[in-house]
Amino acid sequence: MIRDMKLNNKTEVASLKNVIKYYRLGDVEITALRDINLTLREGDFAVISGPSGSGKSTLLHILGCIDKPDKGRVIIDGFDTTDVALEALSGLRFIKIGFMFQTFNLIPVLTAYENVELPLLFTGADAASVRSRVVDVLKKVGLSERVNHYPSQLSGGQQQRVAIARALVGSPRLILADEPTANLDSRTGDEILTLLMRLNREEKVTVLIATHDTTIINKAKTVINIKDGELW
Amino acid sequence: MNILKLIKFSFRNLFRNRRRTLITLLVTASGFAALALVSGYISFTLHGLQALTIRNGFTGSGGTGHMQIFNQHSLEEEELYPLQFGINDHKAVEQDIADIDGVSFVMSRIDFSGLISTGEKSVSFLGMGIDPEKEADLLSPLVKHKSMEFENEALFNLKKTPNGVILGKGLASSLRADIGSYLMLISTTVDGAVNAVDVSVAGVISTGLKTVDRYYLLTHIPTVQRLIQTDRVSKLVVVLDETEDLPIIKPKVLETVNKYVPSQTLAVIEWQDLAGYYHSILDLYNIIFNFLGFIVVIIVMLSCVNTMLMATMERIKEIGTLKAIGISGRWITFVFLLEGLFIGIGSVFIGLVLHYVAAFIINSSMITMPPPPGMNISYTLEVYATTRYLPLIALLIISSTTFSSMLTLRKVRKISIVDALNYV
Repeated sequence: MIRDMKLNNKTEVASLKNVIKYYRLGDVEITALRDINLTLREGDFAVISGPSGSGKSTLLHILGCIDKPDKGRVIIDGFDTTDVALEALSGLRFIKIGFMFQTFNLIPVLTAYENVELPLLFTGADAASVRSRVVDVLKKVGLSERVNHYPSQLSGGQQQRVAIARALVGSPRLILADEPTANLDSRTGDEILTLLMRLNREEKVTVLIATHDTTIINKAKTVINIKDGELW
Repeated sequence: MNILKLIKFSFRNLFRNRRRTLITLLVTASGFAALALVSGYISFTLHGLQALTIRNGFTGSGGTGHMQIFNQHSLEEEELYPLQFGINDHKAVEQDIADIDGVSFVMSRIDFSGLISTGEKSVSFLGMGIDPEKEADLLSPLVKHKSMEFENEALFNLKKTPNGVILGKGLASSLRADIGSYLMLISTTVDGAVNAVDVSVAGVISTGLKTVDRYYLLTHIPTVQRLIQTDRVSKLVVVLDETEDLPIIKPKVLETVNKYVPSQTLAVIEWQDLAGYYHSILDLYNIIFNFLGFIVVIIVMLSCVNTMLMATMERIKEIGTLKAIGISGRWITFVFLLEGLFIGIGSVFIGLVLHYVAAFIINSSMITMPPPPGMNISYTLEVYATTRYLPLIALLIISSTTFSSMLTLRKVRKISIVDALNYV
């Protein structure tokens, strides 16, 4: 089944056009995504839901330009990434896309502040504006009091907040979250979801969450279902 | 991003990853120390070989000193009779050269041969007329070595015994002679006649070579001159205060000996040109040390690469995360390059400390080593703390850590971002 999910009529932030992705397991070729068409627009808050192995993460990776499709096109904020190597897309990832991971993926030897500052360190931004931006996003995620704490000194929810702040610090148009609440208890998971919804509303950032957490699915404005690499 | 930010970021990574950094530093610093110790041992051995050549010589030929002076003709043609091309007026020449600044002392030697007899048995010998006191002075820096005490004592006894001789072990055994035995030296004079002098045994020594010991004999210069009826000597041995001054002093010595032209033409030959055996041993040592050094360098470099690889592989997920959040591979490469560089620099400093400590322990342990080929002196193992190889070793270690981090990163870069993020 081929579906083109156009979620609203606002500016297009990211889209997949006839995306196909294969994986090879030994001699067996597995189709992870089958002819996917999907469009995300400014301010969307969508959840992509499906069982394990359905292709949620693969879709997120391709949309986040950290993996390439075997066929089809990926367009991010009007820029067709199809013929551009992943390495050359690092700038696009920094400017347009914020990533959140199930295991937070914070650098353990860096403080909350330093983790958030990390993407900005490698830009030409001056120290004062970097500081101001990092403090600002940490405040937005409610971690003003924890800036100098290392990940090991933070709870799971706080670590995910740092990850959100890191995803937000480059002012991206799209935040992709892969199972962001899977490693959190339900109350903390709710708090993270509420935070993401607030940022979506206030910052006008488009959010796509891959999850099979029913709490998130129930609260999402839009739910995209995926099974065996197909949207339905 | 400027370089200062990169340096700060790399330093922060190293300081905060204390365990990983410490292990890497210790492995690479040990590599530096190992190479420095090997080079310290090589330097000691080569320097020791030089000192042994100058002070003791090979196969009982006596120390070469820093220079030797010969009659030019003796180098060009064979003598028809003993000391045909010897040095005339040798005491005046000795004195003139000894007056040069930087010359410690000058002594004479006479090479001669003949028969030595107990009255019942006569055997041939290859002898050398010497000044026992000055020969002992030449040997004196080596006397701290236990094996030299015996030879030094023999020279001391010879000095006390006016018509004394020192015999090689084999020669003494052949004659069944011992210290105090009376013997007769028989040789031809400069006129072709046969002459004999009575001598007594002042000492028995070993040159390190049994074949040489069977013909080896030392006695006083006046005894030899009386035997062969001449006042000439075969050569003068010039000993300097410092070996390093040789290039400065040699021209002065040449100038001094040239004053004796035309009455006699004297040639000055440096110790390296006198000791063919030294070069053979040096070549042997060079082959051994180059081979060993090559193996040690390979082991050290592999250890460094392996440690850096392990340290990098631990960070695959971190690399995946950095790439996923939009940091380019170029910056990540720079960070790893700098971290490798800093590890290398840190290793050199820690390695220097380890090296000095290890060298101190080895040098304090007084480990006795066997004599080199053709020598009779065992020596105490020593490792020079500072050698000319240290900068080269430092460069080797720093490049190993820097480029091994690059190599490992190259390997890591082949892993996709998704695989890196899922790496456990």
